[in-house]
Amino acid sequence: MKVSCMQENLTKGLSIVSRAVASRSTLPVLGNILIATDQGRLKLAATNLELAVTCWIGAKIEQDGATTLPARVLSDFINSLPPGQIEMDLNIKTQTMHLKCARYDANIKGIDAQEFPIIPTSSDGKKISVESSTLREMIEQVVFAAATDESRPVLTGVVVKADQDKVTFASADGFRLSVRTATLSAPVAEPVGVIVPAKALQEVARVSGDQDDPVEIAVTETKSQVMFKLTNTEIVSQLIEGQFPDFTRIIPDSHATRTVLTTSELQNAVKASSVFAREAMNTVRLQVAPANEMGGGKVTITATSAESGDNVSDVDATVDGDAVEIAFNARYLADVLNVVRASQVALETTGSSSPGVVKIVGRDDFVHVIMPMHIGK
Amino acid sequence: MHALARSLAKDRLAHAYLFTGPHAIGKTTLARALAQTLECPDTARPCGECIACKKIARDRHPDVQIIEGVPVGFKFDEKSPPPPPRANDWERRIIKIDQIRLLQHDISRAPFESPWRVIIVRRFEEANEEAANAFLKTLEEPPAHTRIILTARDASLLLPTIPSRCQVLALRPLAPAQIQTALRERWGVAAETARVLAHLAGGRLGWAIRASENPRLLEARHAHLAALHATLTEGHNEKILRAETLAKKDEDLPEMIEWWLSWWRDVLLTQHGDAARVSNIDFEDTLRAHAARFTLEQIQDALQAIRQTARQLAQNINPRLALEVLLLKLPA
Repeated sequence: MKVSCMQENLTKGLSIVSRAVASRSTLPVLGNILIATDQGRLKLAATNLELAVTCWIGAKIEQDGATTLPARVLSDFINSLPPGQIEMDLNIKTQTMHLKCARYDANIKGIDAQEFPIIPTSSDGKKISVESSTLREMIEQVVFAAATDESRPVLTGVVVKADQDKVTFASADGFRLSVRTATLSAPVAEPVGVIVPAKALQEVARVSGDQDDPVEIAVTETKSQVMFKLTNTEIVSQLIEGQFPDFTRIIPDSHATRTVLTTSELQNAVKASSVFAREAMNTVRLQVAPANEMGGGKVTITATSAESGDNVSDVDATVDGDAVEIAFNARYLADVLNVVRASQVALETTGSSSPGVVKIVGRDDFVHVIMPMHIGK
Repeated sequence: MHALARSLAKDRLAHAYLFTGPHAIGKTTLARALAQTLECPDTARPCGECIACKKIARDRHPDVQIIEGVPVGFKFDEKSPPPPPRANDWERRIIKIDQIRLLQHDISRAPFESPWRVIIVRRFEEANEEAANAFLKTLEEPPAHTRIILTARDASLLLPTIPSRCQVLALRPLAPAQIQTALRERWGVAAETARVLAHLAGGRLGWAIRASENPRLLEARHAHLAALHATLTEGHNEKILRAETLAKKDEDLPEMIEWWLSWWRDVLLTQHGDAARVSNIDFEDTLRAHAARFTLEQIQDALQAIRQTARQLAQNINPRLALEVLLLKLPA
């Protein structure tokens, strides 16, 4: 194997794939990055057997070949080089890569590429295509609600469903549920539904940050992996096995009160209350009062701590329905308000012990359900 | 074995197996072979030639995980490096609940490159109660595409809820003649060495192979037996001194105890005229001499004293004192 490429490209490629390098593993090769020539380009790949990231960079190839090099050593060395051309030459017998850049020389010992797990590449299977900005927004609005606790593995994932021309992302951790839908430019031939680890989606959002082309999503034939195809980068994630609870049943189909608030005002009020709420199991109370002869509708947000004190903030609101008092976990409210990306949100409630629903005013593609906390009188 | 072959032929494997038998009898080897059979794409599974088979043979397959206990006091978490290899068969290790949790996380994902995820947990008797209990649910209902193989010295050493959730397969010791032939034909061991190893192995082919590859095992045995032979003619003071020296290398004591037990067993057999079942066949003359020198009662006492010492050592008793008592109890 004999190739040359630019230091800048290699650094960027390595930074993209290194996130998938295994930190702990009984397989030494997983601490390495695969470097292989691939149809006139240089392919870099890393995997921890849950997530695999492959990235192609431009290179001049004199002789085809492949090897794997230790990720830390390689990245740290390449990062310390000046910008410019790097020449790489592999000694197959010793699996040692000779690198040369300006007046820097190095020999890095690798492991045979045969040892590297086989990462599936794009098949001709069914694909769906999503605008990369939409995909990033969908991921952002859903992943935070996935469970971090491993006791129920399916809840650490995000359901990705496609049916006709609609794609749905949903996640839940037992206390909240986040669902976001989007319309596909081309309908899918048959419905698909898989559970993708939340971490993998975060990685997709991160890597697709500077790309404009749509992202292609495909499930491998064995139904064990999902693939996100970006320009020059592919992210493959193992799917989580199991049955995700039917989340549509959790979304209340009616409400007694609909309260429309300005997102930033509610955000500030929740932030202020959370100072006191954190000593009281994060409980903040929302008292929703419809407009009456005394004045317009408003929501009073309170938090009380036995030790530090209490606070009360009022936020103007358009209230449609009965007055209601309901308590939520302040963090859950803050989390959802952080990702709505809209100036106005609607809070739909049916009583103090029924779940609250947060929606974006004027849109029906986002639904967030939060279980209320018990109000002790 | 036949039962296993039959269910393989019918493609009707149980979701979890428990292989039991003494150390180095071939439990993990069988587990690897079963994993190869599951993962090998060849029709004559396992072919032993394809990448999958080769990776499994070297424990490098991404979907075949071998889990072992960690040394006592080893801190295990997600980031910890793999535990060091076992120093010897007697090293005390523990399978911790965090290892089981990490495993449960891994198997919640679909297999990476092959049809099955195979989990091999070695020496499950080393799992502490927490870990064993945490494993029950997984063992009962592993995710699809997952096969679990546990190995243990004996099913009775496990929580009864473990074997009841597995298909238990007890591996039996091989006859010395079988081991001898295998050593000579498949591992190219010289005839005389093969004969001695086959008798010493106690039916455990794995042990015989290891001993043929690692001369240290036989050297250690020689040293342990030499110490035993020497101490039988020693006086009080020398015995006390010897106990002190032996106690300094207490990690070798379990091995020494086993060889000493096998020696007295052989003396007993020789005295009884059952030379065919003797294992220390390379010391025939000394065995005959000892059989003539000691009475049946003395031999039985020696065996009992050694066994008692083994129990005491396992219970954290001062090794030097235990050994002093043992050496003084051995017949003169």
